[in-house]
Amino acid sequence: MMTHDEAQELLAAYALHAVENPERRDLEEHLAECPRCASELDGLRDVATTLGNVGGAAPADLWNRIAERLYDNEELDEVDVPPIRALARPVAPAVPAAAVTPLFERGAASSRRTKYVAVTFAAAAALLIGVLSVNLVRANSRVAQLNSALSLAGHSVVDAALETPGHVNVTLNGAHSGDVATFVLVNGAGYLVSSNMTALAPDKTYQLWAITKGTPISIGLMGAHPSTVYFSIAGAAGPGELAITVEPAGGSVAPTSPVLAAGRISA
Amino acid sequence: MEQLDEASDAQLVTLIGRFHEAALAEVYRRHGGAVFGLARKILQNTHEADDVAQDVFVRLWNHPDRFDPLRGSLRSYLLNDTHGRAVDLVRSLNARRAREVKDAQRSPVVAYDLQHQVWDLAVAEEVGRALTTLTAEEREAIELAYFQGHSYVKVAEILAQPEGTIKSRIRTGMRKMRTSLVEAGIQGADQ
Repeated sequence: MMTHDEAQELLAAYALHAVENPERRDLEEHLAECPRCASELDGLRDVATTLGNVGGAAPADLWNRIAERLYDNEELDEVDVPPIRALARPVAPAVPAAAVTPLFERGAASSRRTKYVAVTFAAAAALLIGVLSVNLVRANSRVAQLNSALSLAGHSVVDAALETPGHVNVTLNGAHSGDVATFVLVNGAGYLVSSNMTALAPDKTYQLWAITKGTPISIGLMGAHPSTVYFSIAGAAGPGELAITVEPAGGSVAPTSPVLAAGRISA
Repeated sequence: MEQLDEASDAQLVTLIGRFHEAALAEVYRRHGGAVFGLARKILQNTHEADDVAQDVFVRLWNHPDRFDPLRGSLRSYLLNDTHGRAVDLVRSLNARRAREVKDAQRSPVVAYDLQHQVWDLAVAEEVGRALTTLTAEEREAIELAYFQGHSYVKVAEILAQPEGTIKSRIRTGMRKMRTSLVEAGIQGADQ
């Protein structure tokens, strides 16, 4: 075990990432037990990052590459729990309002594992109905602005989907509002093509549902003012219908408001 | 919920913990340039810097709990992560490329370079002032370690000095910088 004095000598170099194993490992063991050294390290890191704050502009499409990786399998491998299933866990419409938990709420440990179990139900086992794996990448107004500013390829992706043989258009109509939204589904992926969804208050969100055998399954949240929406649907039991409701900003495990618009998926 | 562009960094990280992609986008908007800039500075390669920057933001997305606002600013946290990853990469690349040690030895104007790398002019002024409190040897050791990604052992080899001497120079220099920056009211890399 490294002594305190030895650790003190190394802290500044460590703050510069200039200490290598095995010294680094020994120092980290000491840091875990020495709040004084840990505190000093924080200060030295502040110095280092002040030097490193060189700035500059990032490449225009860097954000696009980051966004594409947010639900990559590489991260699933790291913790071996598929996080997105929380979005897709089928729920029965009879879940009482009191049992509703925000879909995106993570547990205190904020790990993938807690995300997976974050959606809790009184009788979750009884509610598993179909096999529907859904991955939703949502972008609300802020992301849309970024996308626009960065000239991302959102539209070309949608255009490509529309040009792919076998694609399916799904138009969601409201009882009183006509066409509300149109999605294109192709190869298990879905994209928002056009939308007449008006901006909601910040404490509300549009939520997209797949209706399978009469049961709504949350695909995910689209934000208060959807502009760019991508999701993937894979699995044995595909949905027969898509529906949109307006929910509290954190989302709902089952629809809490009347269906705003719905549309049948017909191949 | 208030507008994201008015939310604090800590609030944004909390939202990221709830799968709020827009919060991550806002963090990227605020700090993406700094993260990429530091990665490129160290790696001297746009493609590799791009990879490192991606890793940094994806990791924040996956592990927002690792950021502790009590221990420093979000930018400091992100830049520290960026630096660690870039240094790991540059060392592995160095091993492959056998980058010329002599090139490092020929870097004559370390202090000038350091002083002109800091993006924010106001902070740069204070950093520049802090750097003047360092000896040329202390600046050189810090620059070789931080911006070129060398371990202190390697710096000692490059400068043909005992390892203990280099450890001491880095330590003394960093502490002087710390004192100067704290006196100037600068606590790490804020926005």
